[in-house]
Amino acid sequence: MIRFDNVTKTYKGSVVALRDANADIQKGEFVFLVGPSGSGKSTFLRLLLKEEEPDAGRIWVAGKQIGKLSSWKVPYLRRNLGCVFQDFRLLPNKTVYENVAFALQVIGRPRHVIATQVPQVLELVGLAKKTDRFPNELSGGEQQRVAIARAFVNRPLILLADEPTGNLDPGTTQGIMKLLDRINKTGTTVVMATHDVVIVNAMRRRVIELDHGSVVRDQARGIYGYGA
Amino acid sequence: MALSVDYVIKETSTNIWRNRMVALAAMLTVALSLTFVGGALLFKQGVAKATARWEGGVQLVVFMETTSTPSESHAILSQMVGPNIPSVGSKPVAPGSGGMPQVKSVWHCDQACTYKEFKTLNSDDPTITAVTKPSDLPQSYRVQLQNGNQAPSVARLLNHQPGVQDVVYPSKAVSDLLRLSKFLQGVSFLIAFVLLVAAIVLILNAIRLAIFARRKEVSVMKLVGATNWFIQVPFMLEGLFQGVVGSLLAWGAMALGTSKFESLSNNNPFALTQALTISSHDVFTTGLLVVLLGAAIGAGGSAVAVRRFLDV
Repeated sequence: MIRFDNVTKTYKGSVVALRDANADIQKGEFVFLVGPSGSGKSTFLRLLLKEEEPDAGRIWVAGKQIGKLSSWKVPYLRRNLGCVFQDFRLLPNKTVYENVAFALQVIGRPRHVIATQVPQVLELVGLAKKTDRFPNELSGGEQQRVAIARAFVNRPLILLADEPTGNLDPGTTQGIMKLLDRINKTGTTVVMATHDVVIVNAMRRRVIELDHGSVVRDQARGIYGYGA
Repeated sequence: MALSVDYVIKETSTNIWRNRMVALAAMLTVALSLTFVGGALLFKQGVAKATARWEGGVQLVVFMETTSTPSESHAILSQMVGPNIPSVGSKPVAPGSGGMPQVKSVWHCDQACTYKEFKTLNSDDPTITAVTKPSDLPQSYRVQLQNGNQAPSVARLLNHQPGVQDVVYPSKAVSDLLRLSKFLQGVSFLIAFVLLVAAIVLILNAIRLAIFARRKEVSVMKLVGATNWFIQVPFMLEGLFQGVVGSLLAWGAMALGTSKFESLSNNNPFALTQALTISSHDVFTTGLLVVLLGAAIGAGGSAVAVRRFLDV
């Protein structure tokens, strides 16, 4: 589903974000991307979204080598990739329902599809009763649930999460992890970048550890770090 | 992928409403600049009509009676260009020996030629052109003089000869009008050009602000895989809308200005404004041109803004 083949990415000022990185992630896997700040986790995700181009190496997403993808096809690549961030990125002037529906509207889904999909996904994330609230009326955990609903409403093959629990307390974090686990059980590949030792150790899923841009560990059913 | 019409209309209209002050400034500038463009064009057309007879430096016209005989006509011609030149056509001919020394060249406008001119002069009055036949109209000799000041004396020599209906030359007012119109056209096109550039920049800026105001939406749209086209179209339409509304305002101003001008000249026997006729047909075609220009300004300005500031 995702393959990195000797990928190197250097930013301006010769900061190496990824160095000769290799990874192969199968359909339906749940993968933690761990490592200290600046180790290349976010770059890994940005490369998948084709927000950045690698300097060397090849990247495959859903069977396609995305380096060869022409720019007008990038939106169609992104429809296969749901995205969740630490800062939620919800639209403050839209309700919960509208925020989720927006993701379908802008890719041209017909109204009857929106009318059935949005309530379904809001039910899945446990916000069926708060559809008319605005983001500032919700707790952080609820806002992240809306963001997950928005990322998942189009049933992407892959869900990318960049520190999705970074702004949340441990109790709320657990709820979000349960939700991501449920989404993973539907067959969606989940790649989650995180600092959170506790959740990585509790979930016992595959761990890819990055350090200064290099993959230093790739372990099935891993924990955050040997020392942790 | 289909762009749903109601989505686009909703997005475009909320964009314009949020941005209404900037949009208003852009639309008014478009209106002002296009009013100048349209006004200058109409003025040019009016002057061209009023002075059609004096085009190409003609300084004297000898109208023959419709009943004049070929020999009468020939006598007048020989008096001007000398006996060695038996006839002239629609190309100016210089006089030979025995002709008038004041005359530089002469050409002949037959009845078909006069009829064509008549239709141009009366294009706003189709009933007159419908009931008039070429044979009702006089043929004439168009004369260019060595020196325009000699027109009155030459006219006196040719007038009251057998077969001559009238000899006319442009009054001082008409020659002044011609010079003034050239000057005014130059000035108003210059002003219009500067304002057009300002209008494009203002539309560009309005769209840039709209993009900035919606950068969050745009980033989410990119994230969930909206196509570039889908993201760009509402902004392009916003610019197009501003250009078209501005140009419609300009059209209104032109129509209003023309009718004011007409009522002014109808109530005032002052010949200079009476000579200028601007038909409603002219206003309509110029108005269409102005709207096209406005649409081009709007689409152009927003296209540049979208290319430069909407990083998709």
